[in-house]
Amino acid sequence: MSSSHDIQPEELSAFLDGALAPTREAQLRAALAELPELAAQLAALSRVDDALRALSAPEVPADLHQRLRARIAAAHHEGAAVGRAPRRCAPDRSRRWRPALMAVAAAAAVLAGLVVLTPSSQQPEVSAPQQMAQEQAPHPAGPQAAREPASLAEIVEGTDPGELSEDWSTIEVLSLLEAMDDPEAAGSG
Amino acid sequence: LDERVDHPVEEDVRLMLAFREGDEAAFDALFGRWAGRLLRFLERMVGDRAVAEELVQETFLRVHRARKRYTPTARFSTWLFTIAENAARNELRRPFRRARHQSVDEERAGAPREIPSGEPATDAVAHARVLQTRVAAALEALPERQRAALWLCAVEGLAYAEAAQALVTSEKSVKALVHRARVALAKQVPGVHSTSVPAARGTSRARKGLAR
Repeated sequence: MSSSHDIQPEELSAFLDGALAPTREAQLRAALAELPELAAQLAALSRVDDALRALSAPEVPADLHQRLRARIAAAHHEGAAVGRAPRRCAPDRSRRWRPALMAVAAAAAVLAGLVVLTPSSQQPEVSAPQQMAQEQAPHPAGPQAAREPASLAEIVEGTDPGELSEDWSTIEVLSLLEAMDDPEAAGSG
Repeated sequence: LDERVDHPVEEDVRLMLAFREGDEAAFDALFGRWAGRLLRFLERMVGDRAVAEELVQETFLRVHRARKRYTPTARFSTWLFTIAENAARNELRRPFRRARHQSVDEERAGAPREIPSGEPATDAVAHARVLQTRVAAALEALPERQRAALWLCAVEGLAYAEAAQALVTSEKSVKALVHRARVALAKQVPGVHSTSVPAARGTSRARKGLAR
């Protein structure tokens, strides 16, 4: 009887992840009650989750937040250049603003020193032109929007070739690229 | 069991919306709520504490920068892990990655090589350490995407759809990645025969409710 349920191995994982539809979950439970072998497989997979959750968790260093705040302040002064990858940070826009930013940055650097040295102050100093330089035009929000613009090569390289064939179509990659290019184009307005 | 219990979804959204409107303290609060879990995820992804700390900062920098574009269409955690996963992927793709400082588990879980003789390490403790180290090593040996998918679903409790968003792939692919990863790790976790059926983490309906 349970053989008619035809449980796929992946469904055992889906069961653990709460990803099965209720009717399918009921079928799987019935199959588990009948097939000790299947139940043993599931138990083995479940032990993996227990082991992962038991892995030691790192402590957040006390100064990590402070370091972050310093970087945020620095990023503001550089005008949208963030992280270790300045080449991906909207070169056109920052170039256009560079003269203004240089002047503002000099003044802001002094303020930054004050901000960093004053523990109670959490507000980074942002001058109007900088903020404008950083703001991107309204853009469809969502996780995609938070990504850095990336080259096609980066996107493709970032994907396991095994998965690429299965789930990635050229169209998807291209539409993703379009979405990433969009803020650039909009930024010129 | 479910770690989301102490992380009310609405509170994250409330904080993020407040931050979007310029409340920097809300950003700090979000950092306080999520830095630990991000660090744990990123450390597992890149295998190096110092680099993981960098990436936690980078993730929050991007949150800071993208605040105006945030809309509460997805759970905050999905958004956050999407950014973090992206940062980890970029790090792993760098042509000349920084040399690893120290393995996470050599330092923390205590390498199995030797347990200091003065320590009252019972067999159970020693066994747990050996197991931890083996699991951690097996996790690290997984292909990057399998590792990320498994961690996000099994430990962080993301739904397949959410993990798919974070990994820029389909739910079907996430399902396959998670299962392959579990099967690979299962070989490293010795079986203690148990006949009871492990609890599923909640029905899909319950999870949909949480995802609101």
